[in-house]
Amino acid sequence: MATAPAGGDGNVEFRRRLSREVGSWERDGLVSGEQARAILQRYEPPAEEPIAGQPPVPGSNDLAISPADAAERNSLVSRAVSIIGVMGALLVGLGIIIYVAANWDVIPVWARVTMLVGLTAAINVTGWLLLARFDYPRVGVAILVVGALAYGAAIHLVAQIYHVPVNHPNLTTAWFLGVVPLAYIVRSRLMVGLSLLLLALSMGFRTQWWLEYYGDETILFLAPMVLALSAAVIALGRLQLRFEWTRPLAAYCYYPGLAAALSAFCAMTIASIWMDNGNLAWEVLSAEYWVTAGVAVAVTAAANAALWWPIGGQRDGRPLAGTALAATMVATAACLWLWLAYPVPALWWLFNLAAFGGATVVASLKRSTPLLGGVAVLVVMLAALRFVSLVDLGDQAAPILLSAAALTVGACLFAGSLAMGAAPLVASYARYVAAAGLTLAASSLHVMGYGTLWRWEGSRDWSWMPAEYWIVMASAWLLSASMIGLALWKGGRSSSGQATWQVGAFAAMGLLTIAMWLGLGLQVEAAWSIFNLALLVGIAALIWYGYRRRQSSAVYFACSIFAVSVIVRCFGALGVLAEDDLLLWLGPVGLGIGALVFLTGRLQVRWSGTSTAQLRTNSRVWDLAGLSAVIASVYAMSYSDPWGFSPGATDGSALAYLEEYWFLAGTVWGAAIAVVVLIWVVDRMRSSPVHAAPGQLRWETSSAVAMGVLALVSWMGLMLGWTWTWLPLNAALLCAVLALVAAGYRWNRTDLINLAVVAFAITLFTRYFEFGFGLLGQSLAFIVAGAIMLGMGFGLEFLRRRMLRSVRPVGEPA
Amino acid sequence: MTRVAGLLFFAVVLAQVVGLVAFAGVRQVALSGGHEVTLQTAPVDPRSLFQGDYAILDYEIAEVSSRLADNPTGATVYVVLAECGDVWCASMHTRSKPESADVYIRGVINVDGRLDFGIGTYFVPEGTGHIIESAQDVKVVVSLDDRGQAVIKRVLVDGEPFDRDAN
Repeated sequence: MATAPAGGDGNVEFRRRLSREVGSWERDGLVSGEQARAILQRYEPPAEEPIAGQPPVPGSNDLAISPADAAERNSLVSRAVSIIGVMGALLVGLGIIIYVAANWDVIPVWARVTMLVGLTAAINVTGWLLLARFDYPRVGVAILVVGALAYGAAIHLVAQIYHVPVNHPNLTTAWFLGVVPLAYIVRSRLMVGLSLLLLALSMGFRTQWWLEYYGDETILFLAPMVLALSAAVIALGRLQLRFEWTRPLAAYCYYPGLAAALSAFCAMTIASIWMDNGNLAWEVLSAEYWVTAGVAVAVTAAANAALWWPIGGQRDGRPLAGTALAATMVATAACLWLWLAYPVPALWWLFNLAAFGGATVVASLKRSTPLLGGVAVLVVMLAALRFVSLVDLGDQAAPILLSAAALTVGACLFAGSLAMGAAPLVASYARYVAAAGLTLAASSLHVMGYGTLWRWEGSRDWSWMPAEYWIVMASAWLLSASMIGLALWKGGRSSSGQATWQVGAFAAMGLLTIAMWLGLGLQVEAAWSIFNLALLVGIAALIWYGYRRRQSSAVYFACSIFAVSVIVRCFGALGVLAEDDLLLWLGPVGLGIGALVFLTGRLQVRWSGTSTAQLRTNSRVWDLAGLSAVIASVYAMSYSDPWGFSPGATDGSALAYLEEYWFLAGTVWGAAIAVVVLIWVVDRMRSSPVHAAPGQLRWETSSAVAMGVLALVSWMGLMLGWTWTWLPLNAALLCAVLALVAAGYRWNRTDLINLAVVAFAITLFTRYFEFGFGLLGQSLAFIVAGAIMLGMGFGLEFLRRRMLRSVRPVGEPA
Repeated sequence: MTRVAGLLFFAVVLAQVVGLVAFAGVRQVALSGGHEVTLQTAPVDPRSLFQGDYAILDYEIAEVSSRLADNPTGATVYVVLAECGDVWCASMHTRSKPESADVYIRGVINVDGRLDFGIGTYFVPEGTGHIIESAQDVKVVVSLDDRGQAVIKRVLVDGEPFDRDAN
């Protein structure tokens, strides 16, 4: 089809897709604007089609867009409609549930039941009509989600009126059974997800019913059940792949099932649940437990048998793999059940072995470096956590000696990564090992940067360190040095500049380790400043290295270490405060870090690099990281409770290390302001900035100013004891979400819209669980806000359809 | 969307409505028929995720007699009730169903070794839980059907029916 540049009806979809693709090629710098137009013109039908750049409908200026633009905007608006609609639906649905929870007895019982049952039916019918009759699929599905939530609210209302025991599992089961058929009839992924959530909820309540006694060991009963159930869900998901109608939904069963099975498996790797099982016996389980397990196993078997037969003209691609997976899961469950009868507490290590070994094997089979790297990073992180907990040792010399050990191990890992890089078989894992080594080194330097560690008051007796310590250290350094030598000798091909960097970093680590030992031996009080400086220089060097060698991961890595280090240090400075107040004081600093990251990303966009495409993807990561940090900080400060406890009382004077706090906060915000100024200077110096679109500077500056104002307001609230500071912060949170959607729409950035959705969802759900206001007021607020958003979704959908009509060529069927 | 899908959709919505009405109907029938008894309780006051504030009712008759104490969790126990003063109290515990002439309630032994009658929850309007919790004396009027299944009819707080405006 692509070879025939003709304009048949069947080509319309292809042209739409092509224009989208070409647009992205042009943005990524793969083709020039000229070439893009030439490519598009090649597939343009000869006549009647509106020509790019010419308004198709005279007089409607905002709709004067080319088909390529229209296709892109169409997909973006569709997405926005879905997202705004779903947000609105969740708000209204949760509002209805909260209304039920308020148990408002002013309205008589029969009226409440009639109202909610009628509402459920009416909402569902409305949704269906919008979906099937009036062709508003996205808004229709959103309304059906409201209907599903209203149905659940109605069930719980009746149960409430007749005082059915709280959390009776049949209620959520009935809810699930009512929603799941609708999900498959309208083929909505969201509703399938909602049904699975309800299934999980009903299983959770059922567990409470089966085993009222709750302890760690309960997991031993739950894990095999979860395994059997998820085997059934996975098998059903695979089965759905074979029918045209259910195919798009299959993944929504398959992956959650896999995730549930994996989490059950991971739970079994915790040693403590295997050790303490005094209260366990088969007798505490009701017959229902075994019936459910039996049904799950039977469904798994049936669905797997069906995989081998050709149904609906389709055969499963790999029935053997599916059956093997199901058999493994059911067999594991069976072993666990057997274990309940014949306890063997030592089994936990078998599960650990299977988990780590299995992950390694799967990663190797799939050749998935991220998976393997994930396992490695997890192990190193656990080790690092252990290291941090050791630092609390009483003896003053202990932290320093341990830090030196950590730095040694870090250097060892780093050298090992270089050696790995020279060996083709394991070269792809080298970067994870390097990251682990650098993390260890950085945390060691970070710990050594605390001044209190170097103020000598008591003895500095370090003879308690056994001789093994020194032997291990010496051999580690010998080993590292030989690995570096090996890497240099083997990797002769790699550019010499890189080798200089690597050897330099390694030598620096060695010198710093010696400095730690010397500082300890000679009681150098000022040593802490050396290690702070070393950490900063190291971070700067890593960033510089990343830019020089175009390794964006090195830059991100360095920046995250910086951010974590600042936050941890703030924690240290604010250590005397209670948890709630601590969050309030950390907020403005987090805001500053977010602003700094965001603005740095924006500054980079202006540096016209040779590879535009890479810069663009890089700038997205910077934007997302910075804005997420900003939103998270505002969110952390937006709870009303902590502000109520007169924060003025815990103000500055009470804090021990407040100078350190203000110093850190000042550094971060000073850097952010400097970056803003730099952005302005760069834009002024060039008459037409290459990478900054018109109006971009305005967005950037105003968001930076907004962040600064927010930080100022929260600091003033903290110092002056304003108990209402949470109000503007909440308003700012909502504005930030809306601004992100607007920015995403304005700059064609789906990632910004996604960020807005995630922020909104998290805020919404945590607010739902925080019963701060009265339930009736909360319910009203949720419903009104949701209705407004649903209305916005409807309006957007209406506009989208009008736009599509206006650009639709004459020959194309409506 | 096909015609079949449409029909199925409306069938499911209808089933939802019928199910809800049937659910309410069954509980209403159980409430209006049956034998009415008053039981002594000691409540506490938490909040549910979906349904708001409620009181947990712990009944005096939930005590398992020592003769049946070694039965496993989940075992069904019938409590034959007899009037003693203004409330009903347990006169006999039995594993088998008593004769129909008796007034009896069906319970299940829970993990704490007490009986669960399925009437342990009483939902109250928001912010009124303290009324029940701070009361001196709480009695529950329940309705019992032929199988010993209990449904809560009303709660008597210090002798008066529960009233949100009381304090």
